Parts: sequence; structure tokens; C-alpha cells
Amino acid sequence: MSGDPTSRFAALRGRAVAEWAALVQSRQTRILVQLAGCGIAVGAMETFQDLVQATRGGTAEATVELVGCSGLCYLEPIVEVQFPGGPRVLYGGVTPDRAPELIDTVVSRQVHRADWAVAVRGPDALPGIPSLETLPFMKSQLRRVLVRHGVIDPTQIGHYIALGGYSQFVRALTSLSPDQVFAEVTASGLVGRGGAAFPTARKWETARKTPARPKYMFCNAEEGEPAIYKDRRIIESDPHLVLEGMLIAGLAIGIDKGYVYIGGEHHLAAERARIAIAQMYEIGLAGKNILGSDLSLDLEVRVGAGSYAVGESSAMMSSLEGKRGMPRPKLVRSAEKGVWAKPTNMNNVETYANVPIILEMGGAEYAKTGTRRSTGTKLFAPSGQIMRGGLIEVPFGTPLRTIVFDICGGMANGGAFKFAQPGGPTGGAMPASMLDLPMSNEDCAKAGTVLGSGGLVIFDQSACVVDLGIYMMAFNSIESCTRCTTCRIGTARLTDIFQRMSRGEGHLEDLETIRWLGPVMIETTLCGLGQAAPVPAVSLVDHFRAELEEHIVHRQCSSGVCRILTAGPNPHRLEDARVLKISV
Amino acid sequence: MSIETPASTNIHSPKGARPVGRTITLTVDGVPVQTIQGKTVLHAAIEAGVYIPHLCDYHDLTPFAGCRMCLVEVEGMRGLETACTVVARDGMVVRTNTALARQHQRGVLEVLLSDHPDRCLNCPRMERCGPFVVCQRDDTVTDRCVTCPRNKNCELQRVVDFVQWREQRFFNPRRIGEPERSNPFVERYPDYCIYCARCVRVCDEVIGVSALGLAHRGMDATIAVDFEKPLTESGCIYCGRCAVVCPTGALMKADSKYGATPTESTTPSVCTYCGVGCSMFLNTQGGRLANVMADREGASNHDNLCVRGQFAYDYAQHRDRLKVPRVRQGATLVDATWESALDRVARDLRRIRQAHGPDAIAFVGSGKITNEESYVLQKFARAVVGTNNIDEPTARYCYEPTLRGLHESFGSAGATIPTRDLESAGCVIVIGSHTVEAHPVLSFWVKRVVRRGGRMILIDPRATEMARLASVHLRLHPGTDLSLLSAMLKVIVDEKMIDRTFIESRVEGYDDLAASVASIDLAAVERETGVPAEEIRKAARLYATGGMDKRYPVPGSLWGEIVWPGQRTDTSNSVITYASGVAQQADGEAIVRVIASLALITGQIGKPASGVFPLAGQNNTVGSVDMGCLPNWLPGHQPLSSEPARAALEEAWHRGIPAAPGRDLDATVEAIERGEIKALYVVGANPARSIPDTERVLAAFRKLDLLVVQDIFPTETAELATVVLPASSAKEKDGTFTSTERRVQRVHAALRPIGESRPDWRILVDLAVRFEEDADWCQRQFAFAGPADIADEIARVVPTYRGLAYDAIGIDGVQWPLIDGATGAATLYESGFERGRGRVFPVRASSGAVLPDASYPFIGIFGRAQLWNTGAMSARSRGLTRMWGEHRAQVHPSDATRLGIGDGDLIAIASAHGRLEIRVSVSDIVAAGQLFVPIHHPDANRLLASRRTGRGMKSVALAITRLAGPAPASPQRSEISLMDLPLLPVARPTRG
Repeated sequence: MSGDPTSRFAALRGRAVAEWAALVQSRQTRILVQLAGCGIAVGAMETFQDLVQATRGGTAEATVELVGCSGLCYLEPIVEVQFPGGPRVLYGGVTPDRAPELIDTVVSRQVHRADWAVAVRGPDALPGIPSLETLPFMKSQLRRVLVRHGVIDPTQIGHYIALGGYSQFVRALTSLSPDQVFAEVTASGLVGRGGAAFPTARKWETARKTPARPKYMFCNAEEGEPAIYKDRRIIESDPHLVLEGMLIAGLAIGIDKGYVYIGGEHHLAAERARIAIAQMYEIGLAGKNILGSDLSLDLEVRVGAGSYAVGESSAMMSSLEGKRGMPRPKLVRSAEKGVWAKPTNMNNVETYANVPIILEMGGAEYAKTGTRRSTGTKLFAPSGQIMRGGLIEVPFGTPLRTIVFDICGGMANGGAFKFAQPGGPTGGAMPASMLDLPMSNEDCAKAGTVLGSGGLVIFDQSACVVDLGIYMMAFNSIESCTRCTTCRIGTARLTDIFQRMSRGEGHLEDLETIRWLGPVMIETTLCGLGQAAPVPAVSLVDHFRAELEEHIVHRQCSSGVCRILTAGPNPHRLEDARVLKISV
Repeated sequence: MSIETPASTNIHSPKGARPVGRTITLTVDGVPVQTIQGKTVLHAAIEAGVYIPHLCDYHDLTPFAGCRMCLVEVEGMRGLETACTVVARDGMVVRTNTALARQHQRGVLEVLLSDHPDRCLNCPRMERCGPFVVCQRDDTVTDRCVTCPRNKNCELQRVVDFVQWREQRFFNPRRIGEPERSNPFVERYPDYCIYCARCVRVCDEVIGVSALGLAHRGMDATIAVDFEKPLTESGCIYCGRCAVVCPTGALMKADSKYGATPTESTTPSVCTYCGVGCSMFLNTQGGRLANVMADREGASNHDNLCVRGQFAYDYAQHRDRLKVPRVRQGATLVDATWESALDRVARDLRRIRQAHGPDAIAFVGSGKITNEESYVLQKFARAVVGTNNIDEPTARYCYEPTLRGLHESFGSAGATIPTRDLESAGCVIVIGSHTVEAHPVLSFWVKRVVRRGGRMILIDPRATEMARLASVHLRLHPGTDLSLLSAMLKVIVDEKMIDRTFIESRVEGYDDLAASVASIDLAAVERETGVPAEEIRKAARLYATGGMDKRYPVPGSLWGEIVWPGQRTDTSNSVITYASGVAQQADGEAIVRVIASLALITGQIGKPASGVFPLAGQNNTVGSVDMGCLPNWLPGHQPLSSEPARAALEEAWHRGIPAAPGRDLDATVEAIERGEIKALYVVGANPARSIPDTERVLAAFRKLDLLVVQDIFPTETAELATVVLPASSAKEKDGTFTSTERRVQRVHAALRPIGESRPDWRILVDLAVRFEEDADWCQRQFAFAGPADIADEIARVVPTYRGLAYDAIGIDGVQWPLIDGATGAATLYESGFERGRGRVFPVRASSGAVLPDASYPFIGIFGRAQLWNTGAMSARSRGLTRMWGEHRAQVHPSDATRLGIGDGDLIAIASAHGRLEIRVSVSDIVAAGQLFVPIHHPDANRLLASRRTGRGMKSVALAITRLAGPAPASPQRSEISLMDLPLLPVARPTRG
């Protein structure tokens, strides 16, 4: 290949568009299986294999393709069927045992089943089948990052390019100066999506201004906490969006090498990222002299060994250096001296994914979405006792109520909303009184919780806060890196306390101990993980004191979760007797 | 060779490579504190005397920030900061004693102590409690501070006292870990661990061994040895540093448990094993050595010691110590009084001198006695007896080639830089030295070069521990060092990597050298040495550029493993360090000259962290050489042949000195055989074992009329002696030692002399009084009252020590020569050489390596293991003998398989000269066809020919045969037997 970047990319793009068009206008029936972590967990891989078998065996004339997850995780496994010339129709719950049925009743007969189909991809509805965009789950969402999820094959760079991918990078490479790119990002007000919500432009600026070379860049896809799955879904479903964001960031900062650091448990994401990077190298979008320009940027996937703490930036750098993945004291900012003591820029997957969108929209336009200090859209991963769980994208500032009741369809099994737990095991609980809280970083901080990286577990009355306390504190304890005394032992002591409460051996002083230990831990731990570790415990005491006291004093668990052997108050214990006198 | 009068010492520089930062001032608790830029607030405060409680920080480790105790408030920063992670800045205002800081420190402590035995710590009766007192709080025996090995020496106790922690609101579910007492040096009690990771970091950052690590996470975390095995199965070198830095009782030096704290007396001293000269303190209790502490500011060791220094001091009070003089009566030695023994020696010596002349008497000095004693000994030989027959085994076999080689090249001989400068080098060549075992503390600094991204080039036939870190390991055939280094010279000359300016202004003989290397054929060298020519080129290029040759980047795969990120070497200078692996070869002196030439033509000398660094074997080998305990050298490195030097000495001594050089050790043995030498006077040496061709040496010694041995232990030589005089060890006397970096260091008596033993100088003075006919001369010239007297004479007479005031030698010592009569010279030759210009010599052909033949198919390599030389001291150290008491030869697995030898088998090794039996360890440290024999084996020197045959001592052709299978495991090996304890009674006060 030769020529300037623009013409080289135009050639690439032309080819990709043609291939995509051929695919869309295929004369064969297309069966598209959404293969991402969520679907595979409920059998999508077997469905896919069965469908391949069936179409190869001649029972039906069709091609079977894979696509990413479109976020409707509650319907997985999802299979889309497209007849020649028709739209793509989504079928939910196509577990392996229902795959033959799909072949027999839909593919073979070339008619859609309105009783089974979920939606039609695209604006137009079919008789009895609504348009995807009009589904309640989708209606309140604003999908920018997720726009290609479920649409394209994540293992095909051509699909991404055909749908406009990499054009923003090429624009930045050819017609914008790094300063202009930087200015757009500054204007967008983009903040980090990993949980700390640090202004991205400020981070970039430090790395930009540090003269030392080489400069490194990390894409943080560790995502080790439970009930969060946004980063790995992005990489599994649309890896090139992130990689394009990385290229643009690399261009603006002057990065020499970028690492996509993926958590040790996320095999599929790692594999898809590897495939994506290999394809970038193949067509000259990574490596030396990208698209024939002066820009050289290497990309590499690194996989962790399975540790939550490695999600902290300095711990990730230690891990990459081949050391124990522990956060380290930062005598100097890592943007100045990070991995191998070189300037290092680290952003979350979702942050990078927003960068091409900002260039496409323009920074100022981007900033119009969301709230003043949290601009743009945010991915959430609502799960728990709700009707519809999945991966959603809403503007910052959307109230929790909209998410829980409009998008997620309210509580499942007729339950009542008890509380939501944002930010995994390090966020403060959001009880019903916070339902109208706008989900933005500043509003959540004001209300004493954190938005976190996007986890959102919603509980109904069947959840016991003591049980939840054990779970979250035990997680933090197990994942404590061992460095800070207060985190290592403090989380274990908090676990002890909740465990005792759960056995009916709690003391009322324990609640004060939790409230005392929280600030000590927050003030005296090194990294964000230690500082966030006691937050759930403290917020449980703040918001659910009555339920905790019920465990301690009345030795009852109204949710029926805790197995307290002898129910009822324990008159032999002094503090119980004292409380009983007052309260009974 | 001519010697000019020592030129002005101002050609040297008092400065080393280690940079000193800018001074800044910050305010700590309202008091202005001065510190060096780059230090943390914690270090600045503590140096200024403001204590900030801390548990994980340690003065020479990188900040860990794990204990979270050192909380301070810094003006302009939000909330509390850990003082260990805040770098002090000019004008910074720090408050350490605020209410908030104290409150959170108590909080942290409360959390910490919920995972550590804590009941004693807030017990009001703590001070009045003891191990056998019934606990008022019903605390478990094993959880009580009074039964903790670190009690009263515990940093956690100190922190608790300081922040006045009194309250525990957590239930303390104690974790029970298995104590580890797998070795006699370091014991581990995991229950007491607070996870400060000091041990892990010190093992990694300072020692460079990384035997310890953190395993698992959260409350499951443990300080684990490799793969959670016992220490004995790890790479641990038992330096004990982890136990020294441990703030609690989790890691303990086995010798200093339970109150072996420096309560009674602490005496500054110097280690008496290798030449590194580690500065240490001897702690005594009840008249016994309780333990030793490394000197935190020790010039060459900086808080480090090796296993010998840290644990093997117990020899000094071993029950084998000679306590009374013994005189031979027939076949046995019987106890005698000092009077009669000294009279006997004086009478016999006088008789022999009268009958056969002074040259019928020969003296053997020691690298273990003090400078003062070495000086007195050679003065006794030269001025009192009147002979130059004086030699010293380690100087003879390890240092003499250095002395001659460097003298011819530079005009003086000695390490050209301080030890600590090694770590600032960009490139270090290590040749002929198993540094990790022979000079362990020095190896820490060499390893640091690699850690900082510098280069280490190892030239060794064995793949020792250093090989793992080496950028280039030139694994040459034994004995081909000369050819290899000459080839490096050729590469440097051919590729014009010479320092032309340096050569033009400061070097002579370059053209001859350049002409002589022209004929070297690298391909032939490759065949001879077995080292690929490309590797030789790489080594030469890296050396010449100080490790900065762009063609050889630090390999990426090693980067994360070994090199500390973000570190850069202080300089791009190169050092060559070598030990007896060079000196003991047949070509020893020629190799030293080539080493000097390499430094001279590349200009890698005369600046900090560059030059030539010979490693002396014994702690005072350099001192004995300095004092002239050699047959052809006078004190102060002056050749005997130098007329003015002799005249000056004669004037000072008021005695003539024989002009003819004396006999060296090997020649002495021959002279005894011929009956020319009748009397041998041995001070602190064991020539019966340390001279090659043991069989012949023993036969010769039996022929002597008089063999006097002055020593602390009944050595093999002492067994043959006519008179044995008990000497005091270095722990019992004052004096100075000179380390391999030319540092003259004071030792002080920590113990009373054992038994009736006397310091060596005292014995010689007493003998001189009896022997010397001219009592008047003796009174003026030999009646020294103490080491200070002798040191005064040394400061007048010995040029290199001129002006060195004995009383002014502080704990840090002084590096000779003195600049302007006051400051020690750190970096030699900064603006010139003693001989004017540095001299390079044309290379000469190697005298040929030892080659195997049909009857002796193996090449034996002789070297040190963990014991020490002939083992007089080290074999009497409980820990060393328990761990390494059994000598092991190393054989390559392929040879072992071929010969059917397994690990632990007993084999017989035979050379053309002798035979020994030894157990074997199968190891790929040695190359196939080679065999490593530790010199500590009693019969090791039986395998070697006398050096008079022109052969080296480093390698010899051997044959091996398998004798028996491995010995059955001894059951008591894992336990300390009470019988191992030295049972020496407390010394009684000497009369008078």
C-alpha cells in the first residue's frame, strides 16, 4: 500500500463498505448470534454451534454469523434472523434446546414468529414485532458507545470501518493537530469512567507536557469487581471503538506504546482484543508509521492474573512490570513517572470509547449531554432483582428511578425496591429515598455515595443487609493487596463484625465501631480501593441501622437470609437488656 | 624498576562517586530542620531528632507506605500524609504531633494490633512483668511480650508507647503460624508478622537475593520463601539482614533472641573474615559475645553483613582456643608458663642464628593480625633477627601479583575507588571472583549496578550466582584469562575505543601495546578460551563505553525481572574487580598488568567509580602487605631493592637491613628441605595447610629445628610446633586493619583475652626483649607499650600511612594515602600517577592453561565456598559447620551421569600430586569436564604442585573415582544440640 493516510484509509474504507453492503444485501438468510460473555454464560455458544451444524447439514439455507452483545442481557441468548431483503429480527432466549425450533419454525419457513421475536432492529416495526428502538428498555437510553453493539462482528475490523470507524482517528491524524484534538477533549469535559471521575484532559495534559520518552498508555480493562461488566462487553462487542480512542489519545499525547490490560478472568475480551489489534497491524493501523504517516504506536494486550487491586493504576503498572500487583506510593504522578518510571497515561475502556465520539460530535456539542461536571453518557450494568438487566447507556444525570423503573422495568417477582448498590463492593447503598437522585458524579458524591464505574445492583426486600455486608467486606478483604495495615486488617475486621451479626452475636457497639473504622480506613489507606472499602459498611449503618439493630437486638433476620439459631432478644446480654427496656 | 619517593598525594581525590544533594530547610513541629534534597519528610525529621512512629519504613529501602503509622500534617496538603512518601521540600511546614495525627495513629495501631498479640502492650504491669510471672490478665503464654524473642527490642512496643495506645475494641482472632527453625541463622515466627515487608524489600533491594516474598492477598498473605518452602531450600544466603530489619519478633537472628540486646557493652570492631572490612559492633553480655550488629553507616558495608560476619563470630570463644603456651616434650606438647616458653624460643632462635646465620630463620605473617602486629613482626625479622625471610600466605598467593602488577603500571597498588563506588559504575567486570560467596557484602554493590541498568561482565568458568545477572558471561576454559583479556585489549585498540586524550597526557608504552596486540587472532582466542569472539567483542565494547554501547541494549525480558525501573547508573565509568581467581594463576601478574592496561587505554581510571579493584582475601591482607610482610617488599609498598627506602628505614630503626631479598613461602619449604632454614616462626597462619603440595610441606616442617606457632587455635601447623604461643583474637585487642579498599579501620577489645593468651604484638615485644642482645636498642626501638605506640612509628616510617594518627581513626576509618596529611583518598590517580605516567605493557603469550589428559581427564577449579580458608575460625563456628560443614565438590550432571555419580556420593579426586576424598554435589554451576574443589577441604592443597614449578593454584588436571553412595541422613542435623554450644568459661581477669 502506498499514498498518504487519507487515500490509504479511503481505499480501506471503500473495501469495507462494499463488503458490509454485500453482507447486508445477502441473498441468503443470515442468522446472527450474539456471542459475548453474557450470552455464552447461558448457552449462546452451544446455540451458535447447533445453528452452524443445522445450516451446514442442509436443514436450512442460511449463514451463521457472530455479533456482539446488544445489551439486552435479560434476553440472552439472542439470535437475530434476517431474511434476504428484510430487517434483522431479534429472538430472545434461544437456548440450545430451542435452536432447532428456530431453524424449523423461522428459518426454514422464512416467516418471523411474532410470538417469539423480541424486536426488529431498525426504526420500522413488523406486524406484531416492535421496533428495537421503541422497546421500553431502549426508549430512555441514549446509545453512543453502544451504538454498534450487537450490530457488527467484533472480530471483523472491516465492519467497524464500514460503519464509520477509524474515520475520526484518520481525521485527527491528517487534518487536526494534537493541540486541536486536545482542545476538543478539553471542551467536551470528559471525565474518567473508571470511578474516580478525574478530568481526562488534565490527565492527558500532564503526560503530554512531561518530556521523557518513551511514553506509555494503558487501557484499564481489569474490571475485577463483581456485578460490573461494561468494559469487557465493550471490548467483546466493539473493540475497535476503544482502540480508535487509544490511537487518538496516543496521537494527542505522543504515546509510543499502548497496553490493553485485561483482567485475568476476561478470556473472551482478551481474545477479541488480541484479534482486533492483530487486524490493526495487518492493515497498518498500528505499529510503525501508521497508514504511512509519521505516527508510530504499538499496541499490546496484557492479561492480569486475577486480582481486583490491579485495577488501581499504579498496581497495574507494577503488575505489568512483572511485580506483585500492589498499588504503590506515588511520590510523583504516574502521568510523569508511571510504568518503568516513564510518563504513563491510563484511562478506562469507556473513557477511550468516548474519545472518537467526542471528535465526531465536537467537544462543545458532547458537553451538552449530561450534567455540568459529568458530561456525556454513562454505561450502567443494572442487575439484581429487576425485570430487565443488561448493559445500558444513559446521559449522566438520569435519575435512578428512570433506570430502575423505566429501563429495567421495575422489580421482579412483585418485590419492592429496597436499595441499589452502585459501584460494586466499594459504593454506598442508595435506599429508596435516593431514587430521584440524578446519576452523576457530583450528585452522588453530594449524597454520600459514589457512582463508581457503572455497577448497579438493585435489591428488593428479600436481600438482607447483613448478608450483603459480609459479601462486600469479604470481597474487599480477600482482594486487599496486603500493603496497608488498615485495609488488610480493617476489611477483615468489618467482615468479622457482619459475620457475627449474621450469627446473632452482634453488639450494638459494633455499629459505632464500623462508623469509627470507616474514617480511619479512608484517611489511612494508600489507594482508592482501601479508601472505598469501608464505604458500603458505613452506608449500611447509615441507611439500614434499624435492620442491623434488628439482627443485634432482636436476633432476627426479616429477610430470612441469616441463620440465627435462637431468634429473639437475648436477655442474658447486658446491652440487649438495656435496649429492650427502652424499646419494648 | 625504580621507585621515586612517594610523589605528592594530592594527585588523589578525597571524593567518591556518591553525590551529595543540595541542603534544604523545612520546619518540623516549628523547628527548622536541615536535610539533603530528595529525602522524605520522615527521614529528615528522624535525623533531626523528631521521632515519627513508623514500622515499615527503613532508612535504605524505598518507601513502602504500608504500615500507615507515620501520619503527619503538611501545610498546603489536605488531611494527613504519610511522612515516608512525602519528599521534603524547601520551606515545607510539617506538623507531627497534631491531635488528628495522634488519633489516627491510635486507630491504625488498634487495627494492627487486632492481628498481633496485644494484651501485654496495653497492660499497666508490663514493666514489672517477666516470663515467669503469673499473668494478671490471663494472657496466653505464647502471646505475651515477655516471651517474645524481640521483647524490649521491638519497634512495635516503641510505637505503642509513643502514641499511647491503650484501647482495643476488636476481638483478636489469633492466627497460628508454624515457626521455622530450619537453619541455625534466621528463625521465623509468622505469628508476629505485621506485613511491613521490610524483609522482603531488603532481600530484594539491598541484598539482591529475593529469597523472601509476599504471597497471597488480604489476611491470607504470608511472607513466604520461594514456593513456601523452608529457607534452606531457597536462595537465601543467610546474611541475616531480614532479621535485623524486622521490627517485631517475626524474623530473628538465632543468636540474639531473648534479650541479647546491647545492654552491657557495645564495641566498635571490624569483621575478621574477608577483605571488605565490614564495620560492626560487638555486643557483649556477661563477658561473652552475645551478638554483632552491623554498622549502619559502615563505609563499605552500610548496615550489611554476610553470614560469616553476622553469625560466625562465635569462633572467638570456642572451647578449642589456645589458652596457655605449650612446649614440645618428645612427641607431645605440654603446658608451660609464658616465661619458660618465651625463654625457650629466644634461646633456640639465638642458637640457630649463631650457628647458621639469620637467614636460617624464616617468618610467616598473617592476614588476620593487626597492622601494628604485622609491622612489629617484620621489624622483628628484619631488625632484630636480621633476615628478609618473611612472607604471608594470603599476600603471597592472592595479593602479590596485584602489588607487583599495579605498581609497575601506576606506581602504587590498591583499589582505586572506595567499595561503595562500585554500585555507581556503569559497567563492572568481575573476573576470578565468586563474589557472592567470597566477598558477599561487596557482591551486593555489584548487583546494584545491574539493578540500575548498568552492566556486569562476568569472566568465570563457573556459572555462579553472579552469572544470572551478568550482561555477558564469558565462560572461559580455566586458566585462559590472559588470552581473553588480551583479546579484549585488541578489540578496544582495533575499534579505536581508546581514550586518545587520556593516553596522550597520562600513559606511556601505548604504541608497544598496540603493536603487540596486532598479532592476536580472535578466532584463535575463541578456540583457546571457548568464548565466542562476538562475546569478547561485546564485553570489550561495553567495558570501554562504561556499559553505554548502544549496540547492546538491556534485554527486554530481563528488564522487569532484574532492573529497577527508572534507575540509571550514576556514571558511565567501568571498574574491573578481581580476586584470587586471577592472582593464583600462573600468569597472575601478567593478567593484572593487562587489567591495568585495559583501564589505562580506555581512560577508565582516575575518576569516581572507575579503575581497578583488587579483592583481598583476608581482612588484613592489604595491611600485611602495607606493613611489608613480604620477602622483597619493605613497609609502604617499597621494594627492598630501593636504596633510599632501605636507607630511610635503617635510619629510623638504627639498624642495618639485609639487602638481599628473603625467601618466599615456596622457597622456604625448599630451603627447609635442603637444611638451609632451621627455624620457622609462624604468626596467625596455617602454612601446613595453605601452601600447595601439602605432603611435601608437612615433611619439610618435620625437619625443622624450631617451629614456633603463635595462633588462637591449635592448627595443623601448631600440631607440628616446638612451641605454641596462645594469641588473642581480634575481638580481644586493639589495633587497626586495612581493608581491600585501603581503609584503615580501628578495632577495639570487646572481650578480655581468653585464658592467658596475649596479643601478637605483645608476644613479639616480650620475645624481642629476651632475644635482642642490645638491650638499649631494644628499649628504644622495640619496647612498645601498646598498639598506639606502634601506630605512631608506622605513621612516621611507612610512607603510605604517613601522618595517620592512631587516635584520629574513627569508626569510619581512613583510606590511605592521606591527602594533605588529613583526609583519606577516596579516588586514586585523579590528576596523576605515583610513577608519573601510567605504564602499559605489551601483552605476552599465555603460559598455557592446564589441559586434561587421558589419565587426568578433569580440570579442577579451586575456590571458596561458605567456610573460610583453612577453617581455623570458620570450622569452629557452630552455624557454618552445621550448614556447610561437609565439603562438597561440584560436578556437572553429564559427567555425573557418565561416571554413575549421584548427589552426595563420596568420590576420590586424584591429581599428579595427591589425592583427597570428598562428597559431591551434582550441579551445572560447573561446566562439563570441570570439577570444583572447595579450598576449605583439609586436603585440597595436596592436589597442587608447588608454585615453584610455575603452575597456578587455580586449576589442575584431576581424575575422579566413585567410592561410596550418599551418607545416611544424620538425625540431629535439624536440631541444635546443646553440645554444639561453646562451653568456654568467662575469662578470668588477668593479673597485673
